[in-house]
Amino acid sequence: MKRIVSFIVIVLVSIGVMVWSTPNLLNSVRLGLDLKGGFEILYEASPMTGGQEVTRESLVETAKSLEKRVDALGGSEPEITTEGSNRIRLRIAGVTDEKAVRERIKEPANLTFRSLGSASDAKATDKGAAANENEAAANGETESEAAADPYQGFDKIELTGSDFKPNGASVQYDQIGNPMISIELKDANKFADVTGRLIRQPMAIFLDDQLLSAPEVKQRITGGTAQISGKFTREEAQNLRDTINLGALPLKLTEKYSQSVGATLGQQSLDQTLMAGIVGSIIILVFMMFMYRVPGLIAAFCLIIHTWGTILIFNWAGITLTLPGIAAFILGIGMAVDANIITYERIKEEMRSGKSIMSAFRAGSKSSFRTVMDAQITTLIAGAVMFWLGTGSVRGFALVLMIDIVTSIITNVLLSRYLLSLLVKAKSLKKPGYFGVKGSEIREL
Amino acid sequence: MSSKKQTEIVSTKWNFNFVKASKYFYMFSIIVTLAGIISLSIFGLNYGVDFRSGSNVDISVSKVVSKAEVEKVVSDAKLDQEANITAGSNRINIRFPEVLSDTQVQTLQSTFNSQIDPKASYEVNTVDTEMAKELERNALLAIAVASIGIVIYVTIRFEWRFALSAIVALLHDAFLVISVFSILRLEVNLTFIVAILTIIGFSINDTIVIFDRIRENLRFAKKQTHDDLEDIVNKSVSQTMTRSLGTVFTVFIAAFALLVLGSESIRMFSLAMVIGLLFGTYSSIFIASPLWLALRNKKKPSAPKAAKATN
Repeated sequence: MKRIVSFIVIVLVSIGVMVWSTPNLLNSVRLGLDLKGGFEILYEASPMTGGQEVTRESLVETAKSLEKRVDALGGSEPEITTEGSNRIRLRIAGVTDEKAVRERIKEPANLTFRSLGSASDAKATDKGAAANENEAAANGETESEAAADPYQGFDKIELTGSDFKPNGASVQYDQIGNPMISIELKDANKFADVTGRLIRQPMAIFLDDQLLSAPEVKQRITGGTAQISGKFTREEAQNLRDTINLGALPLKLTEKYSQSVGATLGQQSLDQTLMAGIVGSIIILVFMMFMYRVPGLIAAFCLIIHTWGTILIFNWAGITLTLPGIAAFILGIGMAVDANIITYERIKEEMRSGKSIMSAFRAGSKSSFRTVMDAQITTLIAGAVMFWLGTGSVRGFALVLMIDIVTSIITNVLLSRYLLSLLVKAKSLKKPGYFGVKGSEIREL
Repeated sequence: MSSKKQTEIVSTKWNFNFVKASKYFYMFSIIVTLAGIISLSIFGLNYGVDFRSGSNVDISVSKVVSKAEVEKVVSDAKLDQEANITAGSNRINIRFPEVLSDTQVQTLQSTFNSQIDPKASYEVNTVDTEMAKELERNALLAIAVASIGIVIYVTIRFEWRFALSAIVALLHDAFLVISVFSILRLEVNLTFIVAILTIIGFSINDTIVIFDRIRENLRFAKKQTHDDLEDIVNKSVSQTMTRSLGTVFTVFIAAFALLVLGSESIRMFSLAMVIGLLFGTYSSIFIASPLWLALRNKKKPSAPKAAKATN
């Protein structure tokens, strides 16, 4: 009697918890861009200037900077991941204005302080002349094309984006109230060196290929703060400050792959796939109850808990559900049911060989457990490899598959066995028919 | 079916000499494999946008649109390239051999919206060939590494002959599905790789369940002559047959529901899954188990082929 009560309590409590939590649970599932519209871009990063390498740090920094840019537009939750040694994958779901996001991302906004470089260097100093000769020669050749050069001969980069403090730009006003932009530098000494070297020479300040100003350096600046003054209006100055603060991307990005899904199409895919999932699940549940009667009913119940538990894990771990993910999920239901089928078939077999229900249950559960675990672990290995080596949707699929396997071990192996054991031990399943075994099939021992 | 020793076996509905029948199935698998090799080497695979450089535009429309109307839109948008247009009932697919730029995509969308359907919804895919090749390499690597992992696990839990037979069966399944896609010219894209990897997972799962039963029956077998082993394999396959069919039925229903009712975007994925599931069950029964027997018999000194054994 006690066991029957605990069986009923477990079932009712789980149903209660599921009914109570499901609406909230379903609403907080993060849907991928293929299910609610949005876009995905895979970028390949290359260094801004030749000869440098793409480092892990610069890649991560670029990804962070991308995130900031997308966040600045508001509204969406971007998912930005680095991949391999030089790739960044950007996923934005639920964005309607793709154009605005793309433009914001493409804006590299690289602030550079430039000097006339090699040409003037060679004149000004004797040392290092040998090293500079080649550059000077190359420079001479291109001088005729100077009109096409957006940097107007300022070909030597003295300071670049990474030399400035993040969020270090601010708008200030000079004595007569003209706005100017003040920028803090990471390394005051470096700036002092540069300005010291360039005394009485012009130093140009560029935002990308746009010349902001080209003042002549009057003295060594040691304070670690650079000022850009020009003929800005107050509004221009503020915009400029924001652009500078948003920061430059440390790396140059080229699009390698892109996918964009309209919101209607995404919704359609979601509806269709969910429909497929519901229809498939119902057929599976009916099949289980038909084949295995009472244990089949328990399996069906555990399968519902399995589905609920998997969605719960998705929410906790913040996993985004995509179309291949749903596919893995639905297949996972099939695999979870397999654990029950293996166990129940085994129990039925033991019963047919003439064992009592109790000992058939014990023997069947025990020997099928090993089979189920071996089968699940081998599939788990395949899933882990896919997750490890895969990219993009392959990875998403593998993650869902692995979560599915783990939850199915908990619900459709352990929980279903426990529930069945309660009923068997309470002796409420006396007839073999409850297991779907015909009396005529049972051999006498 | 014929063996006298089977009298002592618990009778099931599936008494059948699987080992004897396996030679016909070997033939079948070899023929399909050869056809696959020929088809792959002559025609290759019909790569979708994920594997071919270019742009793919899927448009979901609220009314019926003819191909000619779409052609007009494409030429009006002045994209300077030949497009391959497929118009369905509420979905249009346009393939461009060269990558469309952002502005080109926008021109296409605005032309389409103004000329045909202002409520159209778009899916645009763009890929670089370099990426596609890498995806393929990645998938092959994943299969190779997964196979090694499975071999190690199965060798530890069972023995190497089981591992080897299981790997042959899973490669067989993966290759046959690829062959079918090549022969029927079905489109292969990124989700196809996912499907192949799942089929491998399922195939190994299915094979392990039968092998587990063979291992168990082996433990209780007194003698292990050639005939005894054949009986054990037949017995194990038939004992697990209801389970094999039950499982393949449930997973098949799930995959089939996805194929019939699921989204267009994963149709090929579902189809690959459905085909792969059938091959997976088939190979576990008719390929993997008899193959294990063949490998095992080589070991026995009394077996007829012992003289040829080299290890």
